Amino acid sequence: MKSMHDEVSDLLPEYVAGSLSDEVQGRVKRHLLDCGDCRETASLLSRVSSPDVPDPGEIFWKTLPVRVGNAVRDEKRPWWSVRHLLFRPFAMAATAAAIFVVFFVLLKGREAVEYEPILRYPYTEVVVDYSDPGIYDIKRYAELVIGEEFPVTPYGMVEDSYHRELASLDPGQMEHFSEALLQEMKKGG
Amino acid sequence: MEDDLQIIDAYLSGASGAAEELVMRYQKQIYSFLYRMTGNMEDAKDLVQQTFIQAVMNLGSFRRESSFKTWLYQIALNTGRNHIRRYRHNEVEAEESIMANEDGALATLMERQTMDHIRQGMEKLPERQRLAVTLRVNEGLSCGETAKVMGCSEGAVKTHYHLGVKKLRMFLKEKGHEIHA
Repeated sequence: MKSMHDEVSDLLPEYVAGSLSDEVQGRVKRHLLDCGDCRETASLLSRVSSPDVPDPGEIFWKTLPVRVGNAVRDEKRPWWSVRHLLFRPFAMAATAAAIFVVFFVLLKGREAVEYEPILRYPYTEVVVDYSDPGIYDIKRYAELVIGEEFPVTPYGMVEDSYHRELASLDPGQMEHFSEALLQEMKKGG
Repeated sequence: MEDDLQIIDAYLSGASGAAEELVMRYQKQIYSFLYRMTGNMEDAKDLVQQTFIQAVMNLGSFRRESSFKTWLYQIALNTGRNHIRRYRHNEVEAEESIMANEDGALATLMERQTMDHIRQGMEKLPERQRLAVTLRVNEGLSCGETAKVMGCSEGAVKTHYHLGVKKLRMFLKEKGHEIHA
């Protein structure tokens, strides 16, 4: 059977906190009058339980529930949602890079398919169709005539007024221009 | 006033504000417990947030075999333990932090010294004994609740608690303190 001393020593934390019923509280109190050991322990426990925890402040207590609520909602959001991505810069950067790569590949693929020049080597070609030259044809034509790579992009050539002028020549003028260039080359010009 | 289980049911059925209500109920107790574990206010502030996020995220798996409060203390205990394992502060830092947080104007020099020695004595206790004393005395948990948080029997809690108190008294006597009622 449990002695009064053992019973009280188990109840001392509750006694110090004042959470016992009045009857039990009174019983413990009466035991403490006679027992120096329990009295000493109770005194120590009251010191141990004294509030020595620093208060982080009212703002912390008020914002913590909101922060926890928001964090939980963000965690539960599907990974592809805009807000989810906004809070994850790495995921967002990876998504943006992936989108960029897809667009780049699609654009390049399209350009490669579109590159079907109608103008071939002007000096050996029997019949040259100058009726519908595209921007790639102009660059290629120019490169064939000057014998080296033309240092501008096809789009740059179109933007340039000189090349725009070249592109605006009709088939007859183009033939004439080609002939003139050939003569210049023969003369070493 | 709704009890914890009603709020949990409300949260699980999608009611807004239920998670926040649970946090408001227990934030001070859990913060205080984590502060006593780490001895550092900033760590305790981070850990209390982590504890609640983890608890709310896992409310669906709360089996209701113990009270929500006990379950929450278990999560806090694990969060605190993981933190201490990962970022163990050296004792000097911890002590400086505690000293910096004290209100020197109110406490007398002797009382402050006693309190410092109590803290040192608590830190010297083996982990299970320190936990038993902290949960029983500081957090006001019953023997049964403490046993559930610590994952042991009530008898083991009583043993750890009594040994812890005994060692603490011996430590204070060694330091020249007579604890009188």
